[in-house]
This record gives sequence, C-alpha cells and structure tokens, in this order.
Amino acid sequence: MARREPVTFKGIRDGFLILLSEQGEFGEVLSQLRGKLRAAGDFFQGAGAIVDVGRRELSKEEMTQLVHTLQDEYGMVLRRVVANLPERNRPENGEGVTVLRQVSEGAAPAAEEDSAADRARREPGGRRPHRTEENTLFIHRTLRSGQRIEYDGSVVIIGDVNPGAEIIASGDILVMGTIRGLAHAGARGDSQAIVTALSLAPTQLRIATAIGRPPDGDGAARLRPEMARVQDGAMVIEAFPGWE
Amino acid sequence: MGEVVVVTSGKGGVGKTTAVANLGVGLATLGKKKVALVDTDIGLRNLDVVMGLENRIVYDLVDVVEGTCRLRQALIKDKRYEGLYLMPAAQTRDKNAVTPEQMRKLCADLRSEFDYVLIDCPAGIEQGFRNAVAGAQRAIVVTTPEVSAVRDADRIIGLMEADELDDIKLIVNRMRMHMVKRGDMMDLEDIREILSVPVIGVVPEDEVIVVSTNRGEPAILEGKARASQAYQNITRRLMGEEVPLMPLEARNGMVGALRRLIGLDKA
Ligand SMILES: Nc1ncnc2c1ncn2[C@@H]1O[C@H](COP(=O)(O)OP(=O)(O)O)[C@@H](O)[C@H]1O
Ligand SMILES: [Mg+2]
Repeated sequence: MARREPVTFKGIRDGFLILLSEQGEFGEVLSQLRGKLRAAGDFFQGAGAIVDVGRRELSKEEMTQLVHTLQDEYGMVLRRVVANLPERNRPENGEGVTVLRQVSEGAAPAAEEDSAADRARREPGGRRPHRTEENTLFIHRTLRSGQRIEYDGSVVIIGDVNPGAEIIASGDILVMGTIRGLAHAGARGDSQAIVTALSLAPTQLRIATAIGRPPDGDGAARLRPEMARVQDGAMVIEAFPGWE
Repeated sequence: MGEVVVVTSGKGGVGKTTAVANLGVGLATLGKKKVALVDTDIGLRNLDVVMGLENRIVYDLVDVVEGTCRLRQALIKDKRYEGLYLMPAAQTRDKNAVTPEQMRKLCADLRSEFDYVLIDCPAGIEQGFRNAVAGAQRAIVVTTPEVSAVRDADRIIGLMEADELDDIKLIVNRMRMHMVKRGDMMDLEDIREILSVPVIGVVPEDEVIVVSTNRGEPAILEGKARASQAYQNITRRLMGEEVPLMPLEARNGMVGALRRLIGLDKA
C-alpha cells in the first residue's frame, strides 16, 4: 500500500510506530517528521519509537540522520527501524534478493560482547537464558525462498524457514515450525547462542563460527523439537526437553 | 466488478498458459461468466496459439497501454465460447514496454466489464512478473511436483505476499501417480508442507493436454479425460464452490496432519 501521508504516528504498546512515506526525498520526509515532533513539544520525550521506512532503502547517512533527529533532537528512544523491501539486487551473483523485513537497531549496533551482566544471567552449566523481549524480533509468517532476515538480537519465527531462505541473528533463533533453509545464530560471534525449532531440517546451520549440516540422506524433516548449540567448538543437536 | 486473477509460477514451462486457457474456457462455459484472458508474456506470447486465435490478432496489450487502439479493439472474441475474450501480448516488443502502473489501470478497466480477468504471467521474477501481478487481487501459482519448481513457486509466493497480494492458491500440475507411489516424485503433502498455501487443484500428467495444445482447443471440455476433469473442478473452486479433491489427488501424511493440528497450515 502506498503511503500518502509523509509521516504517520501510531500508538503501540510501549511507544509509537512512526510510518514514513516511501515517496519523495528522504530529507523532505525527515523535515516533516521534525515539524510534527516540534509541534508536540516534549510529548514524545522519552517515548519509544519503531520507525517503519517501508520500501525505502536508507543510506547509512540517512539512517544516522534519523537516529539523530529522534534521539538527540527530540529525546525519543529509537528501538528499531523496520523496512519492507520487496526486491534488492545483490551484485555478487546477480540474483534478486528479497529483504522482506530487514531490521536493524537504530543506534550503531555494538559488537556482541559477553558483558558481565550477560555472564551473571547465565544459568549454571554455562547456558545463557533466553534473551529478553526488547531485543527480539517476532515474525508471524513463513520465510520463503529468497527472503533473508538479519537482526541484531534474537529472532522468533512463527512459521517455517523454507529452503532458500536465510535467517541471521546475533542472538538466538527460535522457529515455531520447520527450518529447511539456513539459520545462523550468534552471528556476531556469540557461541552461546542457540537455534531451536519444532523441526530441524536445515540446509545448513551456523552458530557463531561453527557450521553444521544435516547428515547425508537425512532429508525428511523430523517433527520433534530440537535445539542446536555449540559444545567444545562443535555443533550438537539435542531434543529440546521443555517442549515435550 | 469482476476479479483479476494472475496465473504465475516462477519457473517456466510448468503449465501457466495451459491453465489460463482451460480455466478461461471453463469459466465461460460451465460458469457462464464473462471472461478476459490477458497474455502478459510480451515477446514470448503463446496464449493466442494455445487458444487457436493467433490469426485473428490485430492489436495487442502494448497497443492498448500506449493508446494506439481502444481496449475493445484488442479484445479478440472467441466465437466458440460465449463470453470469452483474449487480449494477446505483443510479440515484437519486450517486457519493459509496459509498466506495473499501466497494468493496474488496464486491469481496473477490464474488471468493470468482465466477471473474471485471467492474467497469463511470464516466467521469472523480473519486470514481466511485476507487470502481471500489479493489477491482480488473486493469484494462482502453478507448480509441478519437482523440487526446483516448488522452490521457485515459494520464491514468487514470497514476493507476492510482500506486495500484499495474499489470496494465493496452488495448482499442482503434471502429477504422475505411479512415480509418487514409487517415491520418485514429491507428493501433494510434501508440496503443501513447504508452500503452505491452499491447493485449488491437482492436474495429472495427461496426453490430452499436449494434443489439445497443438490443436488450439483447450482440453477442459474433453469428456472423461482426467486432466479435463481436474480443470473442471478447479473452475468450480475458483468460482467459490466446494469441490473435494479427487481421490488420486489427496493423501494426508502424518506430518501434514500433525502440522494442521498445531495450526501451522492455513489450508
Ligand atoms: N497436465 C499436463 N500434462 C501433460 N502436458 C502438460 C500438462 N500441462 C502442461 N503440459 C505441457 O507442458 C508444456 C508447457 O506448458 P505451458 O502451459 O506452455 O507452460 P508455461 O505457460 O508455464 O510456460 C506444454 O507443452 C503443455 O502442453
Ligand atoms: Mg506461458
């Protein structure tokens, strides 16, 4: 759906969803946004914001401007930026790559580090508990061939990850369905990350730098919740007990 | 106001044009509907050949969008079937001769005059595909029971969903039951598993299709042929009738049943 209004605000659970027009110069849209924020005084001060830029691909500079406007000028907390890009060409292979919902943290994503807090949260046995909701992306559909999701945080998919689809997360990946495509958890190097699915039949699985493939001939998906994690540098797959 | 249904596949040669021709004749005859078939495969047109109407082409789709002729002038009336019309593609132009915006306008114009507008889509995911889906409210995806065709179907379903074209149904074409039984071919449940869109019909591999294609006479009305019956059923389902899948078509695997139980399948 084409968006007519340059800037639309919608109230969401913990802040505002800001829809920006896909048409016109981004600078123009941004000054419209500034106008609205200015008119509201300090109403938006401290409020959370998710910005949906629709089918517009923002340059790094434009992204920075957006962050600057919201955070530095008007005191909003930019949670993330959501884009809906139906098609993008990847020069490396000339193949069209669909970025359906590419999400990046508003602020420059810091390298995933084992912070002290993170370590403190870790359960005995060295396994970190599931990440909290604020850095989790929820996707309520199946990822289809050619679709790729990258997210700085954890990703929960309610649907499948089909062959030819890719999901890359700095945190955990949890699929309420079957993984047949590629999943890469802990993509920034967190080897504590895990991949869980109702059924694991991936083309390839990666956690941090470890790579796993299903054994040859094991094509059929088993309908059994499983969890992949890295242990002593190798990927292990085990039944996910909590789900049975 | 009629409905615009795009018939698409991603992979070429899986049976889109055949489906458009048969469903067009089906809707016009069984359903007594007013139907326009639009060939958007610019540069590789062949719906006119399959319909046996090639020698009646004067104007085409590109002439209409460029304003060279009026809409009606490019609509060839199929004299054999009351209410059936064909708008051919241009053969000497390319996909870029038409824009999605122009297609939306064309589809809107056709909708006001026809009950069904069936769009025959070219293979691929580029401009031709973009044009074909631009003005559609519904989509029928055709696949064969092959991994590569299913993968491409998945790809275009994803693209259409991203374009908010969500009413998507699946035709599985050229099913060979003896191969499925031997385990040499994907069965319906395997395909459903991956694509998770409702199946509107399964068309068996059938010589009658090849023969009729060459004769320029769609096979749907050919009495007892299994492919013809399959297309008749699909026609009815397209019009909203509840017609159960033919026995050869359906098989409910364990996995499928389980998935439906936990609510992962829409169908
Ligand atoms: N059910 C079927 N049984 C046998 N042959 C078929 C069947 N469906 C299509 N074909 C044949 O497959 C070929 C490609 O079909 P076509 O409709 O032109 O595909 P597309 O438009 O997707 O490229 C044609 O020669 C057609 O006769
Ligand atoms: Mg064709």
